[in-house]
Amino acid sequence: MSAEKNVLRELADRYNLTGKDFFKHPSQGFIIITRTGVEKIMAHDKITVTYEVVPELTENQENCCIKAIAEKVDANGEVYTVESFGSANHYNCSIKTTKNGRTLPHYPVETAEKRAKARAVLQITGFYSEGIFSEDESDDFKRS
Amino acid sequence: MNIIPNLPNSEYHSKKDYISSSFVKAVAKHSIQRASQKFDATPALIFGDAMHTYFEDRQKFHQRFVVFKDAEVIAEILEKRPDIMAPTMTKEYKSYKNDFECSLAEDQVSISEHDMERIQIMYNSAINNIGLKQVYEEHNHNDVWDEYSFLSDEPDMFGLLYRVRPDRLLVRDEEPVAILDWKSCKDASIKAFRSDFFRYRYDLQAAFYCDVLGVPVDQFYFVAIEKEFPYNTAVYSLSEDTQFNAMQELNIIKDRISKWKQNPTTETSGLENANEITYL
Repeated sequence: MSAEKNVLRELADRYNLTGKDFFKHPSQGFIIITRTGVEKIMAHDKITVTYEVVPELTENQENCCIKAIAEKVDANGEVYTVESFGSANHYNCSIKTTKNGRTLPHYPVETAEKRAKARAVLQITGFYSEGIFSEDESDDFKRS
Repeated sequence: MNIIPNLPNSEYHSKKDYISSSFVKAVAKHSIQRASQKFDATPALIFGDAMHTYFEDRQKFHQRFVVFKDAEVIAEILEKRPDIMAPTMTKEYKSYKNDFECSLAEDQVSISEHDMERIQIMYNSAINNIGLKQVYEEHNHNDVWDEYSFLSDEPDMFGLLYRVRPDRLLVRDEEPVAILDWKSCKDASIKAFRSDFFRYRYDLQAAFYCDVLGVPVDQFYFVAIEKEFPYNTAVYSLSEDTQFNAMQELNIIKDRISKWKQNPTTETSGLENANEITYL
């Protein structure tokens, strides 16, 4: 098995990830962790996440930026923290419409929150450094 | 990856340790139990086989498929007995057909004149299709590989080995750049093909082939060719959402197969929802 597959196998074993928790990006080939996968990783490593709205980058209901601070305590009691950001606006969220063309509401705060959380969790657990990203960023991947 | 250009059909299909696209699709549609079942060749399968062979290797086609020419014998029967409605139901016709089939070699199959004619019209329809020409132009290639067999040389992270045999690969410097799959169908219109596409899980086929060959899923093309009048052709690929959904489902199926391989019980080989209540 290639080194890349080995790393993924190890991470999947460690966090008890199944086929539902990750998949390969259809055109770029990197691994994407689904929301259930991120939740499993968080629970396994007992990661806590706190959030702050970034006011300078947040405007009405259209544009929101959230800072997530992930905290994890290792086996020696040492505390690690990682900060990451998630944003949601009309530039990085697909606009969804009904069959008759009516625009569906979008939820920038919730979207920014889940993006920030997924990034912070994958960073603190080392998934990011292995080139593994979260599903919540897939809207960005789709447009790239 | 082991690449074998001329692996015989029977040998390719005998490699049961390797997971194929048909297996994956059958698991998605029903269960591992059904995917593991053997099935007999139906007239539709024989027609599809003949069509694929004709498209890819004319010499091989003429070795394997022999056209059953019955126009003369039908004319003779009708001349003798002008009152009959179905000359193909007569003893004389059946005996002639039986003699013909007995004369075939073991690996030969007979096809009707009508089917032969249909295949030729389908071929012309496909090669003249503008969408298909566009695929050839858009993917810079210096070789075309027809029916090459690919076998993975080591298990993946699910512990599984895979095999694929794409109908046609456009290749640049020994690297596949696009995959073409011929699909004979009754109706190649968007509405009808979309229905076939999801019914027969072509989305998973594309995801599986691309995953094994390391080709982006948006470079997989289905060439849908009508097998009856007006013999239209249309080329289809996967939208972004379909690509993502298919890749995600493919992983779930691989996981299912992997669990069954590790522990082959009725629980792991049955329906996905066999052990729970499903609310529709």
